[in-house]
Amino acid sequence: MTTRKIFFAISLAAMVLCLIAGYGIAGQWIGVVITIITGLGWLLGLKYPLFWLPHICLPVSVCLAVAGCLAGSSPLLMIFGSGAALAVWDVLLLDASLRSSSPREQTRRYETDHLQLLALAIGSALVVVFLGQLLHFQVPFLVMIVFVALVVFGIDRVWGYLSKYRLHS
Amino acid sequence: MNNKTLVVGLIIVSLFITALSARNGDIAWMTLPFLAYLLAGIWQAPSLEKLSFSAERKLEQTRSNGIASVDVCLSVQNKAAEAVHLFVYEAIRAGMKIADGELSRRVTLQPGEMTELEYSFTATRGNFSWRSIPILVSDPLGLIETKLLLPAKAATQIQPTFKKFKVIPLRTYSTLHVPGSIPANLGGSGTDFFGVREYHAGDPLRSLDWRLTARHPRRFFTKEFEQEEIADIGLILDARLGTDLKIGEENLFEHGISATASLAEMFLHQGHRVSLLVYGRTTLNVFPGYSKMQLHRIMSCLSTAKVDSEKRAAVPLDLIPTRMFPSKALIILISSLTSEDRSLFLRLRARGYQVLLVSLDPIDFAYPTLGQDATSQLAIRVARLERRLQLKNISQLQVRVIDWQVRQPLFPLVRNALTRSRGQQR
Repeated sequence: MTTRKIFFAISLAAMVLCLIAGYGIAGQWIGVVITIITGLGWLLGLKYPLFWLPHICLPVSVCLAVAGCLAGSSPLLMIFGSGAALAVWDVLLLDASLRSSSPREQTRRYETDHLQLLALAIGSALVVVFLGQLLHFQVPFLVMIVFVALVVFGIDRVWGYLSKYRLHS
Repeated sequence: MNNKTLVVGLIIVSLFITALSARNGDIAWMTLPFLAYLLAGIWQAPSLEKLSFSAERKLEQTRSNGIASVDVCLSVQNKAAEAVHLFVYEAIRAGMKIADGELSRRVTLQPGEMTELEYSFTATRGNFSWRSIPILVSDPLGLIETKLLLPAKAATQIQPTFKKFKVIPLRTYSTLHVPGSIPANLGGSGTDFFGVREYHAGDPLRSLDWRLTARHPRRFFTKEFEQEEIADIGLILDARLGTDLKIGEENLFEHGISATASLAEMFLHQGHRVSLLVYGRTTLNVFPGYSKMQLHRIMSCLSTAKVDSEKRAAVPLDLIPTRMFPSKALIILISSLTSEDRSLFLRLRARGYQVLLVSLDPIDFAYPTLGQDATSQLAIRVARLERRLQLKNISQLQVRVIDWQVRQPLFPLVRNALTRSRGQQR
């Protein structure tokens, strides 16, 4: 079993457990059923690496997490579930892109770098979320509006940065 | 921006909008892993100014035939001072069939490190050339990708496959006055006895016919042998859309290509002067010439020959530029013919060309796919009758006609058509 498969299994298990636990605690069994079906969908995506399947499963999982939040499930579990869904999605795409590559040292190095950065990004974000939930850090609505406005204006800068990465021949 | 970035970006925006509309802070928190993921990608994206690569594409063969596979090796070296994450891939050309190997790879290259991509491909025929090796440089998460085209020129030519024909004793109307292998109907130096004439001053003594001289006192006679010369042969391959037929993977035009290549090889091997015209909306030609170099020219021309595209109207066969063929040459037309093609043969005969038509049978070629019901069988019969009538009309113009069913060997038919006696041909 390759590293990415182990990573996939752990992330999928974390996602399913978080969402099932969240919905189960709130007693919303329909959510549990949908989570299990989504988990099976992710597994199907691993077996049949179709282009569109991971891109469907990720929004479905995030929607499940959002619905859980709105329906009164534990927000921490839902956020962890959506974060784990992001990891599953990324590892699934990584697996699909590396499937045609021969197992060489350079490819293994790419895989390791990818998984390390993924774990670092999502792990640190989830730690911040956990701390934020623990400290009951409440953002006032007006501050949130200002924050969103900043993000919207920031998108322009990000877009400008991304547009530099076009075809260079 | 690739699909991954788009999906993550859309989810972030959707979560923000949902958080705002529901006034739910927990949903806003949910965006944090996605934002961290996206920012990690942007943070790790390589700086274009610092990137430096060298690339090379090696081809084992620059010329090959359709049977052998061509081995290709792509190598990319990182010349920058930092490690880079790459996706190296090969641009596959139309007509290439990958036989073995790897066409793409994701790698992380340390400074000075090199990666190689090896594969082999086959193709029916054609010219394949590349100018660059495409690579995608990205962050480790593959979110911010930059496409670079690294210059690496290479080209290979897949020449058409053909069957080698044995040498046939060709008889033509006229020959070129260059020593060759065809009896030229002229007295001179040769091997076959041609006749006897009166002795001329300067004739070698060994060619004197002593018996005849003994019977005629005070007169001398010299034996003459038949000169052997080469022939002028023009090959015309019909590449008009109306004469082609494609059944599954098989193409009638490819049979024509193969037949033309076989004939060219046979005639050039015999030492004859051969020219080629591939006739369609765009014509390709090889002017008359000899030797292996001429065979290479003809094969190169045949490897690039294509049937006219469907968008263009069919051109009549009558517009063939016959002036490119030397007068009295033997012209071999390889075509499945359309119903209006008879006039060309009239023109060719009027100009004194000796003509051989190798007509590929489209009805026999398509027969396995045609219906077996009574109506279809009747239609096939009518089409065959029409074709037979057309070939008979053409043969009445003193044109040798080979009705070639492409699944049968061509050589015996060509041998029978070209080795008839001179008297029969005229």
